[in-house]
Amino acid sequence: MKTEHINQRRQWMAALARCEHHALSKYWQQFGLNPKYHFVREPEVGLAQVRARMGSTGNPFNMGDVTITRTVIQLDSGELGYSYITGRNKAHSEVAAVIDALMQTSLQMDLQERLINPLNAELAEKEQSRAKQVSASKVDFFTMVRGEDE
Amino acid sequence: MSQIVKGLDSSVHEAQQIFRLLMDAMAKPGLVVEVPSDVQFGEVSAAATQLLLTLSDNSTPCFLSQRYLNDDHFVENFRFHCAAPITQTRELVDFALISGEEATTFCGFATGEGSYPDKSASIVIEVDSLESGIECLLTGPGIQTSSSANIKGLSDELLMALISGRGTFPQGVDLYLSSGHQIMAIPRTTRIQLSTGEALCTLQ
Repeated sequence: MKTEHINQRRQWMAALARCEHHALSKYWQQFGLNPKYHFVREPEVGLAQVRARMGSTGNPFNMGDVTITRTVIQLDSGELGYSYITGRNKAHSEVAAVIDALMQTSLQMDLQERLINPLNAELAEKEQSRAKQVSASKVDFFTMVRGEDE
Repeated sequence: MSQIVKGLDSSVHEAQQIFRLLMDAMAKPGLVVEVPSDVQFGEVSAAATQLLLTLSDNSTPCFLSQRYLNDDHFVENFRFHCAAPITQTRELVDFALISGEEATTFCGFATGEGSYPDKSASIVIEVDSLESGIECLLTGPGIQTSSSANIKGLSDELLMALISGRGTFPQGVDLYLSSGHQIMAIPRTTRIQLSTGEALCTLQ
């Protein structure tokens, strides 16, 4: 698989995973599609360890666990769709997997325009308003350089 | 196109059923049990496939003999469903899948330590049949007096290893023989003799 293709897929899988389930269903239902598929891996809930770095650059440490739900489906035409989402919403995981598989078919352009792009827009909007909220209460600490940590 | 296929229908419940069958098989050496599902990957038998689906996971390194390593369909599905690391270092593995015709010895596989005999490998041997072939006499724990087992498709060297080369108790390797849907277990405690003197002569 080409890097470009991998990056594209990474982007749409991220959008499908990070969006709200109700938003995803809203756009998905507008398509009125009913693709035939079967489960290769039924939706299952598990834990993944989250690691982080102190100040983004320090040594990694284990921050905690996060619940994830993963699904793999196969369309009758053969494409495999994967999804990994945080939380335990199996329905969300299933729809995301189906759309991931359909994104590999001729429906890609249509889905990108009418489903992935609007979801990305919603995500960006949400992030912006969150950033605004955070910056409103941001406190800057000014400390004098004391010069004793040589 | 990816070759990944569906695993067990209900990964939890079927795996529990198969686990129970494997426990029965281990408790009664020589008993032939049949796995319930038709799932199989590549050229590997349904029995061996389902045993690995049940017992192996990302914390159990597995050894695959060359025949199975070359089987793309099996390897791809094995990685996907079991997520077990595949290695060629025999000392490190918890499970091994070998072919009865190809393999000649159990040397190299972990037989456990004196204080931790459980740190040993379980070896799955694919054979042609468990209903015909050489007749063996099994004795030991789990067998009232003696029981007989038929094995077809073992190389002469592996048959000798089966009789005398599985390690020294309490250390040693535990074996599963698989063919089609059938599995038979031979734990390290079981003693094996060939039923006929003739077969022994041909071996020597």
